[in-house]
Amino acid sequence: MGHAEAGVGVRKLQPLVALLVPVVLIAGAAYADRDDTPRTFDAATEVRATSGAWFCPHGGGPEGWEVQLQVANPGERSATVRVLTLNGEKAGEPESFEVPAGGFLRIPVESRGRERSSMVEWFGQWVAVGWLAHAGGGEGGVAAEPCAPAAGGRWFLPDGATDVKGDHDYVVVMNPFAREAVFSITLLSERREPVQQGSLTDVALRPFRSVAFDVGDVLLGEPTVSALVDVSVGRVAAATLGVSGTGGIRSALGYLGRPAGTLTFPGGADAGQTRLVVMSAGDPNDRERVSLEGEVLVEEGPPQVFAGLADASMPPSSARTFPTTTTGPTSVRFTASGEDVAAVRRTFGVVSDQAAVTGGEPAASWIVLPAVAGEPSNPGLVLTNPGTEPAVLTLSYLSPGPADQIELTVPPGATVEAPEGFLRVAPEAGVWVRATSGTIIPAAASYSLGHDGFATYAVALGIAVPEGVL
Amino acid sequence: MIASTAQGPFRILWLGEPDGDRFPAPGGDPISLAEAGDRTVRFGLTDRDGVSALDEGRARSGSGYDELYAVLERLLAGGTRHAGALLGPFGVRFVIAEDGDLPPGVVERLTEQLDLDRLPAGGLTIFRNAAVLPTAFVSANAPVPDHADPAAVEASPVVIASPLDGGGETYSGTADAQGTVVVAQQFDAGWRVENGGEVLAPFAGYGWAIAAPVQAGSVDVHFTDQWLRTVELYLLALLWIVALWVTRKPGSA
Repeated sequence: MGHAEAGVGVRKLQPLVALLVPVVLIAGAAYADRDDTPRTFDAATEVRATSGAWFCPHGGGPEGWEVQLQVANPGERSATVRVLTLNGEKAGEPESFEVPAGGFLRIPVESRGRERSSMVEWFGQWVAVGWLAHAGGGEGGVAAEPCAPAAGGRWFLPDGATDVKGDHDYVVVMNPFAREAVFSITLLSERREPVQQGSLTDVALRPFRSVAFDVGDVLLGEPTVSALVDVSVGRVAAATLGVSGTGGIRSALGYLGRPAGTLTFPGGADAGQTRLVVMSAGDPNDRERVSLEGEVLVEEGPPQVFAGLADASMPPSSARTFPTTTTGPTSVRFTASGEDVAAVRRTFGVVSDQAAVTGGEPAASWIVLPAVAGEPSNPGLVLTNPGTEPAVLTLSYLSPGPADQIELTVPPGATVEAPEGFLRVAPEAGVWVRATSGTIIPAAASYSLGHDGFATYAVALGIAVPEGVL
Repeated sequence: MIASTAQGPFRILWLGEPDGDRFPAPGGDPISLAEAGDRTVRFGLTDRDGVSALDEGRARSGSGYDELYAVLERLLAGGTRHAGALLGPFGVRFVIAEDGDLPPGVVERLTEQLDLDRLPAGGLTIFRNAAVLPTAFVSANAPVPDHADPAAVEASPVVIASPLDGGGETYSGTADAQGTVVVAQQFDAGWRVENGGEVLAPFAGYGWAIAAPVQAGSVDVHFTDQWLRTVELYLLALLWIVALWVTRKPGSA
């Protein structure tokens, strides 16, 4: 068929085409396969955070209370902060303040009402924020605590008791957002059954409002009452406020989400009695008990066993208080085997008043906000090193504190106090603690007011400076 | 649900995995990727009715889109907790993603924003912007810098804004006091603002939008170069007619 010459040509090309076609097909398939591998994307550009917020469910009183927000700016740029204070009614207008680079500022806020809360938005430069409340109007004492850097959907609030007549323990919940929040509070005690009451179930909290609940109205006569706040709609921040009828208040910020398995609770200068309030918020149908361990890191010598926690365990959906006695600056290092376990350390002043401190994890840079409400005062700052290497620290004041700074070494497994001579220079200024090696957990533990400056007592965990914010 | 919870014109920011797929209706096609490592997303911007033929005909590039990209980059990198305020000038009232169509960590980034509130919605992840601004407004207290200044926008107080009527190339309204008029469309020198008998040339508000300082009184914003585009369209139509006539089949008449 066809032209003879052409036929010869076609027959000659056949092997070549037969070879080329599969080669091209294989090469094409290989290329397509290469093209199909997922591409990688450029990493996010390093962006310094230029705005954020702190949530401060500080509470307040019926009258005569003074609440101050304490703002520290360890950065090199000035920061603008915008403060909005909430209660059960429509929020007012926010107020703005400038916090200079390296500066510290106290901002008085409204304090009437147990549910009082504040939101501090910051712009331009990261700041650390906490609160200092001084009770008045027939109530007494000082409470200090860091504010929460985030709001969210599940809060663990271990601190609470309803077995002392005249004492009242509150759960303060704030909703600083433009959307309604709906939440339920479950109360845990040494009883096996969690308590869920109608008044604490599906509570609707309108935008920019806060609310407080007296847990004694629901569960009375319990040595331990912890609260679990579960949010079904929106976001909230929560803390506990304890008001003693014999004089004394204490605040403890809740834990947002599951706390770490091991937490350290610094303390010092107290009367020697420590109560570790532990809540286990696991599923009540889970029969497995949570085992607990604890040790006390002291100033000198090896850590001591937290006697009350030896071989201790708890059933899920329960709460319990473990007491011990301590001397001098001490820290409790607490470990729980299970999840959904949170704890707060409660201590007592030598004259009156009481304090609660939440647990922390080691970090290299901290802001310690003062726990002194006025003069005369006996300021204290405790530093604990739960690590295995010595922590070498530099302590310096934020302005208007002086330019003084000191260096300090905290041995591994020890808790020490900052020198009194350094702290007395500016007892009402924020302190920046930086570790040049090792890591630590600091807290302010101070007395103030009264004849000798021992009338009130408060302990507040430091605020870790996140990496990359300065 | 969106239509029932929000009135007036607004925009929707659509987010999803960086796979190039269309967004759920009416999200349409993505504009581009906002690259942030593992948090990279594809994104789109539509009006409340979704993508239309008109949108298809418009250029999806320019300083406004560049700034939107920068806002997303800042949001995904964790550089802000006020993404709602930054998206406000774009008129973004909702940020929407299909459930399961966001890279890990992106929902967390959105949730931590102070001014984005998550709404319950079946099949979609929806955040409502509490700091949204109208797509065309006049305000006495809105900070409107003439360049991209996210810090100023983040720190903005609650903006009291009166929306303007109109759309397309003409907007009108009334300023109760001295302030700024803003139309959230990309800046073009052909726009003019009439206020109190004066004709003003606008500036690039936020670095990309149409903005001008105004006094109390009536405000009218209009595009003056529309005739040029109309002529261009007529010329294009004429060329088509000529081309069809030239290429007609003989005897087809």
